[in-house]
Amino acid sequence: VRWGELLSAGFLATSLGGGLRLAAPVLVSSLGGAVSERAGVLNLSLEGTMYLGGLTSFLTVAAGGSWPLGLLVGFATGAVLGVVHGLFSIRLRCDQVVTGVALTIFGEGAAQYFHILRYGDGSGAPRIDPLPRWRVPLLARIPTFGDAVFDQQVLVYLGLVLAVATHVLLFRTNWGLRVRAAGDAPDALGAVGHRVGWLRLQALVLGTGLAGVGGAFLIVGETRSFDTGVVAGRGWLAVGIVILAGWRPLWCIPASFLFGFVDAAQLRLQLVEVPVSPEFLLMLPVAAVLVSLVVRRRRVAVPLALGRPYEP
Amino acid sequence: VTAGALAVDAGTRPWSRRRVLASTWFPSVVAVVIAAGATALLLSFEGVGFGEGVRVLWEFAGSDAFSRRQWIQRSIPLALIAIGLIFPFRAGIWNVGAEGQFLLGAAGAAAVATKVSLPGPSSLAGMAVVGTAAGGVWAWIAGRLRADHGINEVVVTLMLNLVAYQLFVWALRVPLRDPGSPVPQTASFDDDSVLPKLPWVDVHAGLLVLAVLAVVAAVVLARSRLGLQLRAVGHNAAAAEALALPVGRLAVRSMVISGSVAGLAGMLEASGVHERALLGMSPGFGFTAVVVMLLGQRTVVGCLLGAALFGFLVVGADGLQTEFGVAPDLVTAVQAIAVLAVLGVSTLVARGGGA
Repeated sequence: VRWGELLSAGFLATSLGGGLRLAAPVLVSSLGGAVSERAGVLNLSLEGTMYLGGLTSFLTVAAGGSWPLGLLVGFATGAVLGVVHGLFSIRLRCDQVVTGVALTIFGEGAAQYFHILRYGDGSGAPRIDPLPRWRVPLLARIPTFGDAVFDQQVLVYLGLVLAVATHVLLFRTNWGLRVRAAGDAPDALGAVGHRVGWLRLQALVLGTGLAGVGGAFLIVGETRSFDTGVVAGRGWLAVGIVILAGWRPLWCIPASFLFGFVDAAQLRLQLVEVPVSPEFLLMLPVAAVLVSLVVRRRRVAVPLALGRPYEP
Repeated sequence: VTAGALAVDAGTRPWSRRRVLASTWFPSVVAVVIAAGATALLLSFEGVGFGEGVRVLWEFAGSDAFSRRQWIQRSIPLALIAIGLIFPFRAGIWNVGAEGQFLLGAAGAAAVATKVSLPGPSSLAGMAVVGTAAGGVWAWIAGRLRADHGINEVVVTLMLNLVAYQLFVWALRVPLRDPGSPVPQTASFDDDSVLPKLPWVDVHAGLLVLAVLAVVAAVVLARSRLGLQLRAVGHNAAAAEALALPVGRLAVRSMVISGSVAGLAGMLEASGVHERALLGMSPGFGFTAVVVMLLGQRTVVGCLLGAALFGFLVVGADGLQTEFGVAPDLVTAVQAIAVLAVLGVSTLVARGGGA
């Protein structure tokens, strides 16, 4: 073990910075999960939505579209999957778990199918250019940490902005209040004349759309190419992060950063010859979710009607 | 036609509209038709006619002894896992963690095969015991958390999948690694640890295990107290609790059954097909099995038929790629369309009062 390197500020700084970057796609998808679940719809389509949203945004950018357009296309793709999810889980009141799992299988299969349809076996697929970066004024001048943490590609900041925006939307607007009511007390909301199904659908479409953006973050911002199995369980992890964050968008930031930090650190720990298997490090965020399920189960505001179809 | 006329018809004509709609199998049949239609549509995008597509599927998955063996071998893990999943799903308990249970079963069996080296046939027995136990214990965790703490088993099994995957990768990379291999995988099993081939079909003996387990499961589900209790809990959990059925214990037991079977499927796949444990040995068997089980209407026969259909499609899809350059992932997307169709049609039928 090269202790000097391990304990240096540089190691911490690069892990922090890399952690922020790797956390961003999971963060945005978990925001989508939080919005859907706050409205009472368990959204297990995140993994598949990240695949399909990631693919469409990749195709957009690879065809010459700008990256914001790519993100929009990713959102639209997710929103379409959200409408399908809602058709089954809200309109037909089908089981939310089956609907979500089926959409995940569909999203992964369809994304890989269309990628091969477009580029053959993948050898002809382009690699898209890295996105622009932004240096945070002043903070980027901090020695060691400035360059590593406060000079990131734009999506990292956008992810944080989306987290704040989601928080404001859910907790500071009338719409957010009604959406939370649709997830906590749908019968009461329906009794005072609101259309519970319609509100749930709006939240579900927004949430699944965000998961599509999460996929776009991953493909357009991070991997810059679409490979088989590229999402690699990040969507499932986002489902767990929603729980770890207690369905609160702002708490999704530290919860997904835990994953990002571990992911960034495990790569670097191998470089300094620390005898810890990366697999065990990568288990930590998941273990945290499981522990939080057991420990906090009475103290966290689980949306009361989560998973229950609303029958007017 | 009035409702009264339909009611009269139902008693006399076996193919009356009402009879057909009320049949358990109606949604599955419609789903298969819809899925076939979706396949035809997607194939037409690439200029492949439906008949031509089916011909190639058959050519690669059923026309000769080799392809039929591929087909059967691919269907075995799907059928096994799906049959195991019937138990918790009948009781309304969601085990979406079969993927992880399968991988740990494979890793456990590989550990016995490469590190313990038991003599003669006891090696296979030891692998089966350890593989089954590994999958069972993994599912037991989720069952206990649900029974004792009321924690949603969907989330727990999903998270345990992620942990199991990392454990599996670690096991293949560090303790069980074949030092001569550039990629993480175990050494090739010795002859004692490889399942024998059945004489007349040239498929590994896992087929026999499947046949035995399918009969046992069908009998247990239909005739035993456990089967009845599971159905009672699934039908109305509150009533079951009021009748003093051990709801918690049933949850744990059904979870462990499904996890054990998934673990055993992992052992059979490692020993019978790959003769080692390797990364990517499960192309999503755990999730596909849920689809198979739902398409099979939570019955053993349905699971066997569904697994045979999906095994056929997956093996045949390689043919679509060779012949037309169509990505085999087409089949994955079609499987999802099938399960959504089952879901939708069942609901519509139930809503229409047909059932």
